[in-house]
Amino acid sequence: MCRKGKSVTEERFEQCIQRMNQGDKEALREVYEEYITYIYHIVLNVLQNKENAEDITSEFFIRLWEKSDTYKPGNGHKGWMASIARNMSVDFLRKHKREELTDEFTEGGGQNEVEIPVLGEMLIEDALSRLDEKSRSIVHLKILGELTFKEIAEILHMPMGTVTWKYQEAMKLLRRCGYE
Amino acid sequence: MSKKLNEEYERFASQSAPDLWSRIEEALPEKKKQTAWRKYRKIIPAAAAVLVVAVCVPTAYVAGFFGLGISRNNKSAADSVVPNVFRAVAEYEMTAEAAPQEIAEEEDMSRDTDQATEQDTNGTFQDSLNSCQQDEAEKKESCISGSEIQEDAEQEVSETMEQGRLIDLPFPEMNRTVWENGKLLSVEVKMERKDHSTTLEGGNHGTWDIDSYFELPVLQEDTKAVKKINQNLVERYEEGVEEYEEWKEDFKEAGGPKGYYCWDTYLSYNHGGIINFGVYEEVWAGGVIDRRTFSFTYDLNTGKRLNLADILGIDEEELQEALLKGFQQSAKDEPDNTLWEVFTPETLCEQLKDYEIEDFHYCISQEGEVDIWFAKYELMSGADGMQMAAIGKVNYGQR
Repeated sequence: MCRKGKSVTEERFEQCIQRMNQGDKEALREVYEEYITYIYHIVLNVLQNKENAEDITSEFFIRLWEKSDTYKPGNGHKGWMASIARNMSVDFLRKHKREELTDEFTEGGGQNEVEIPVLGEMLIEDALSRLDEKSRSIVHLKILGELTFKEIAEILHMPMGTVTWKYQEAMKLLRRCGYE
Repeated sequence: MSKKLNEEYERFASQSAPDLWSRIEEALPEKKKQTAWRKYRKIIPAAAAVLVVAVCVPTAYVAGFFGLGISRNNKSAADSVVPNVFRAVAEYEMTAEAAPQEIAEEEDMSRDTDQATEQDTNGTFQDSLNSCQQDEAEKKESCISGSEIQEDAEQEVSETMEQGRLIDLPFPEMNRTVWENGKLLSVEVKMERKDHSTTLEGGNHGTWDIDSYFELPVLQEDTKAVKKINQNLVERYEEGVEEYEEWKEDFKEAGGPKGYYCWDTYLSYNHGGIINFGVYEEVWAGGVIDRRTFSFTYDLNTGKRLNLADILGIDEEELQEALLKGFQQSAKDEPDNTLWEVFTPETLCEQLKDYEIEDFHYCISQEGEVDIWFAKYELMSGADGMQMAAIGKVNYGQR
């Protein structure tokens, strides 16, 4: 078993990939169980639409299965998967840019540019909804992905200075929402 | 990071993630059993290289020793054969790599999937593959650089390649060399990130840490036109570095304590003999963030840099008319574009009437749509950021 939690090592992930190359679906399931939350929220942060995020997340794992033999170890599998998931999401957005994608998230995003007073205790989802998409992605990749700012900058195609600055701004806002 | 936030975030993320396993499992294709060719395809070129070198090189040396080879320029037969052996190996590697890729493409085509998503996914998976094949590619490069046909321009590119870090490119399916009827339709590109980070002493803050890099594309083909393009890209990069040096000088008193100066370069279009790069420049001296965008587009078969009129397939005199037509369409298609809150297509054209053709920067989408880019402050306030407007389709060489 290549489990558990955020502590999946490169070696364990590689073993799962090797088993996938041999046609072992159980190995994909193990990767899925480990990373569904991580991948789904990367996609959701970009798409802002649950239904589309579910489609792209499913597509991601199918592609992982199909293309597992192209994986090369040594570069950090979490960053690698995040890049793929994000690219798939951005590509989906590009294709559907003229369609209305935001059926559930029209409120909230991007409010961190406005000065917010101390807001007291707030549900984490409400607090997160006050961040823009990039800031949410940074927070997600930092907390669940445990990636470095450099890795995050590469995934999001942003200068590292912007990433660190946005992260600090996000932390300030979350503190105001009651998270120390 | 506080523990509470981490825990809360993990709880929230986990609870809100859906269960998608059933639908994923249903859609999983059975994997084909790996044939020996597929299984060992990645090491075949290397094995062939070892075999050729092991057999041919000693043979050549022996032949040279016994005076059986044909000497050139007073060199032994071995001297003249060895570079050719390397060249043959390099060519063989390229051919050997192409075959399995075609097989993979055929398999991909048989799947009923979204093409654009496929591109990106394949791309990124392939990126990983590419980065790990980098060592092999570098070996290949060193082999080629040992050949007698090496020219100065190519050497310069090779030297540049050694200095920076190669980075993965999105959409690798677009990033490959394709020839058709003697014409180069697209070309493989390697993107080199050149680090210019530094710490300056002095100024109001004592020190000034600057993160800086420039991404320089290097086209991987050995034609005159491509060499010309590579040379032009190097010149553009050097101009960028000069500006960076001036910027450091300008802000040495006021900048800091942190800052950055970055060129992110994107391969936007690589099709039909045209290649287009967009450069997104972001500069921060510690105060306001400045952003600029510009682009480089070339004809892969002549090396000519293509301006906006070239790419739209019009004469420069017709540009105003084409802009008006393009903007009118853009205003209809994208009414939410902030440009149209400030301008009408007519007033925007008026604003641009004194532009030289080289002042227009544009990006081409994979579908061949041409978008003009306007930098921050170029047309509107800094708060509005950069602007973009679709202007038409690629029509280069169609008239």
